[in-house]
Amino acid sequence: MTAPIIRLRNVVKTFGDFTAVDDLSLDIDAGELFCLLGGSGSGKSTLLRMLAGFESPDSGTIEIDGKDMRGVDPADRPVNMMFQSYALFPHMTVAENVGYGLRRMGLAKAEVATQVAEMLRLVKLEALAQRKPHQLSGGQRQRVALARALARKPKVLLLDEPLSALDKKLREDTQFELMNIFDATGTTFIVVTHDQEEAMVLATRIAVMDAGKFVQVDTPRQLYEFPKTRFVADFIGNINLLEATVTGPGRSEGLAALHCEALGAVEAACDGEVPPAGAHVWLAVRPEKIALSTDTAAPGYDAVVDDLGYRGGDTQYRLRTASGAALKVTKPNTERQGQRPVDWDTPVRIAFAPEAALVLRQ
Amino acid sequence: MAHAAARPKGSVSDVREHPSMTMRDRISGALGRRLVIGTPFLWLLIFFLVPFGIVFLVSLGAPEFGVPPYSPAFEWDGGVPRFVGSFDNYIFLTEDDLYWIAYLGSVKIALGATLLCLLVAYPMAYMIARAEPGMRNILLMLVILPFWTSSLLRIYALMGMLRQGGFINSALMGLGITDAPIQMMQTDFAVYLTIVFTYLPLMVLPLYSTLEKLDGSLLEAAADLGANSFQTFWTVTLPLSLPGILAGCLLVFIPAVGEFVIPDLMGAQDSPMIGNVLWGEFTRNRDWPVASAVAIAMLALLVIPFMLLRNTSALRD
Repeated sequence: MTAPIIRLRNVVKTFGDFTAVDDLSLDIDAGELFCLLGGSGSGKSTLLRMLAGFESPDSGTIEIDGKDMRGVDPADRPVNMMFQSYALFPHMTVAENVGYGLRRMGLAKAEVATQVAEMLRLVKLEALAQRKPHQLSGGQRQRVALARALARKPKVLLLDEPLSALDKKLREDTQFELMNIFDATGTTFIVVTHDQEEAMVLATRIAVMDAGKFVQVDTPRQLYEFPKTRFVADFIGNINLLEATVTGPGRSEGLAALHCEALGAVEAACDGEVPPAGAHVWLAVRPEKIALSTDTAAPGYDAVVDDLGYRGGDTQYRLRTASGAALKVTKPNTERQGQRPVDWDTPVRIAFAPEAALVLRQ
Repeated sequence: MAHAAARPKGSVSDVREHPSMTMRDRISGALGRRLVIGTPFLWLLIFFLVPFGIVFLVSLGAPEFGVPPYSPAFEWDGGVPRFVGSFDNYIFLTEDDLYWIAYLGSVKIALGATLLCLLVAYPMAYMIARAEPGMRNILLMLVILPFWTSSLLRIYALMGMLRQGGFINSALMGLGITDAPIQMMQTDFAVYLTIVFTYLPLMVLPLYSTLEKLDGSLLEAAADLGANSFQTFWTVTLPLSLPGILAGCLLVFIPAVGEFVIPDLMGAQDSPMIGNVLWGEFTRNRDWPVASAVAIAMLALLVIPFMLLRNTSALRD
């Protein structure tokens, strides 16, 4: 294992009495596409700005490529940043924007031109080299910003909400394009985003941030299927969180038997040890992992359809259980005809495998 | 199903009502627009274009004793106007060195003072634009505050500072730095100083407004891409503040060329600015036609280069 490209140790940053980044330690390996995911004020942007050198930590150390970055100017760091607003120089052409960092390195004119052409090819903007930023669409500007940040061949590319200014359709295409460019350059990417879907699609690892701390650092799949806390479970995707009490171990290894106000007796998987009987926990089930049946004799629990939202690809149901608790269930619409959504006020039966549900202790 | 039935009807009739309302709005809107746009045009017509025409006509006449003190450019000949004026006054301007020297001297002083103003105002505007938002208004206020007293008063205050027995000379001699008072009044130095002092806010304000709008992330991007603070200024801040620089320079240069109070009070008597010449022709010489010709020629010499400049800068964008 090589040394991590980025090593944070006990990094703290405060603005007045607001603690933006609270004692963070983290290693990021070279070649990762790492996402910092959190809401506004979670400290993700502050952390990115400290890596770029625009803010300095109050305490703790930031090492990039094995060197302590204390007192190192943004200009002298082996990182480049793609700004949320893109921050393209409005008085320069696309080629001049992309070549800006190269000219600062003191490269010869011909060398700058070659590298600019190479970068523009990478982001497929060769034809627009002589345009000014205001003559470009939002998606094209985004690619200029990316090319400009990559032109100096940084060890780490920092991307601040790279896709947030694009509309939904374009954002999806650009996500995949961004991953292709990531693969092509082999640079470590650190992406700040508030969009959990974007983080899930892009990242090899995600750090979920809240109030200046990492809540959980894991792969997208681990975060979704094995969230450690209710915050992460709720933040990533949709989930049903039901209060429950542990009544004992389940029928098989790793399962716990619970009593849940909303449903009655249930079993659910535990990530780690089964909590002792009497422990107050939460039952977490993803809406798509709950089966819904109009056959009232089917196994499971009773519920009534309160509301439904047809979204084309799937239908989202809001159910009410016999005890009055609300429950979300999603069903994919796999057939074009014949399959009708379950109507309002229909009594249904819901069921889920114990392995599909998770016990959360905090 | 239930939702579809509950969807409100009547949205069609709302759409139908729409065109007639915009029609009425459009008529009253067009009238209002014409009024709003027309008022300043009318104002300029009455108080600028008509007087300009009168001055031009006067410049074509010849001086006379009487009221008014010039011969008219047109005579009424049986209800038909007949041109009796001449362009002699303009020809006279080119023959007498005094006018060229005064004009070139004025342009030189105005250019120099504009440049000095820019050099002083740019750092000021930059600091104000980068100050805390609450502080900015206070600092701007301090820039504008001297404008609230009459410029004549401020010029007299400067005279008090600069004259032989004035504050600066007394202080210098009192401290033993100089033995004799330094001649500062009636020099070009005093003229430059006073113009810079008087016109500084006109330079600071447009510079401030462009620098304040400058996106801070552009400066961060430049730093991120390896630029030091000088390179950032030279390649990003300065080019992007050019509109403010141009506006400030025009606002200072144009009135400075025609300035006559400042050179009259502060400058040397043997090198008058064109404004003083104009003033002298009108008052001491009572030669209204030549004075008018000076005014028209000065305007033409100022306006034509600026129109060319404007066209080239419009082409660049």
